[in-house]
Amino acid sequence: MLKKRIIPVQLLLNNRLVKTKVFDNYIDVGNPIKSSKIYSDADADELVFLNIERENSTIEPLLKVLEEVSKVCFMPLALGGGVKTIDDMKCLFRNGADKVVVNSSVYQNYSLIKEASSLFGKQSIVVSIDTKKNLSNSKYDLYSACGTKKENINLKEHINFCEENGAGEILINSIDQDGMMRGYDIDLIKQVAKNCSLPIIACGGAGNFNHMKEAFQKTDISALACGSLFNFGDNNPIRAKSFLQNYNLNFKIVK
Amino acid sequence: MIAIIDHNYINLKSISNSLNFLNFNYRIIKAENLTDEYSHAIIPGVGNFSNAMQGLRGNNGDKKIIEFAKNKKPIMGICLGMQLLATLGDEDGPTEGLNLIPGNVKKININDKQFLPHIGWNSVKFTKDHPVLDGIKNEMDFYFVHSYSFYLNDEENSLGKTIYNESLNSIVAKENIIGFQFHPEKSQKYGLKLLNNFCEWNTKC
Repeated sequence: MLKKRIIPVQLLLNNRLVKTKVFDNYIDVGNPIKSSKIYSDADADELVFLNIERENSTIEPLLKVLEEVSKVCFMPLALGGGVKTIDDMKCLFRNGADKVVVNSSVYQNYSLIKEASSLFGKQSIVVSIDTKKNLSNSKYDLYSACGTKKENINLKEHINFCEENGAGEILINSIDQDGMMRGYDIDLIKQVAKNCSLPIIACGGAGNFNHMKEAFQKTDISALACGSLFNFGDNNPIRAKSFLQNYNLNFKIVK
Repeated sequence: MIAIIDHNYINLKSISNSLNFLNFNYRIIKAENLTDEYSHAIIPGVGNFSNAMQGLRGNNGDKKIIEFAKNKKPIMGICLGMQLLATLGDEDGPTEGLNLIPGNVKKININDKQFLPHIGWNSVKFTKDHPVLDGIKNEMDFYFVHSYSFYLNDEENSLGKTIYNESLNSIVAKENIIGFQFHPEKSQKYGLKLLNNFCEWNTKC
């Protein structure tokens, strides 16, 4: 049986690991290489690194982390933030990435994912979507450039374009819930699931294991991503899985 | 010295990092340079069956691998590398494989609730003993990424099964040849143990 996944998301800023609230309010939470080693030992299913530098963002910080992490973590690694071209992707794959995460560059150019998935296989292309609930109409607005630029396309249309063009997975993020630790946006996850047939990773809001249980039980998602939950407090993927296994949710067994 | 065969595969870093971690000497070479000076050969892979075979055939690399196999040297295929061991591949039209383990590579049949590629952690049930599986617990999870699967002509050549709608051959083996559909280099502790066992394997079963 294919297992559910728990994925720590690590945000990079100036070569350090940070955690945000509502895409702002950065707190330094450590060294990305050391934390990755710990996540690997704690049976995380994958690692996601997102470079959140807003000015002149390039893939350099990702390559730096990849170089060290791929020597000690023998598990799937996904990296994104500042990925703009096929050459950026090629560079990341050559240096040990299994998946690349694209976000802002997709809005201008859906053919980027088309070309990428035909070159590298669709399993290796993750499209990350940052959303914020619009209080006037209760719909989800999409944002690029680390939550600073509102895009004009609606969620359903964007997801359809991504899927048609060969995205392999959707990483759906709620800006409103980011770092708030009050639970995932279940409605958002349901809307994404309704509109696509790709594996979905939901991100933003996990504050305790019950939040994860709720998201896994109320939706069909394959994976949950967590930041704050593991950054602050005595929590790790092993403990999360031990709790969730009591509710008929199945995770990988590797020892 | 272990040979890692480079056939335009993008991520060779994961496999070479694993061998570094395990302290084995290796060299990344093109298939046409595979000679008896190497003790073992690893064919990694992610990509497309027909492109990969065309790449190998280009400089008679396929013949070098077949010769290496005939000389009873241990060969391991990973993911697409395992599928290339088959007689025939179905991806992008029928393409002849290396024919080291008889069988066909075809798209996985899925139900309407499942996705392709089959991607993520799934358990492997061993159907037989093999020296490369020494010290690995049965029914552990390994990391898979694939849409096509190896359908064997002879069930005798199956070492492990994994369920994704149907029962898939996740480990195949014949004499000095072994193939994994999953990625040992991405499967943490037991994945590394499998690589270690292969690199120490003298082809005795």
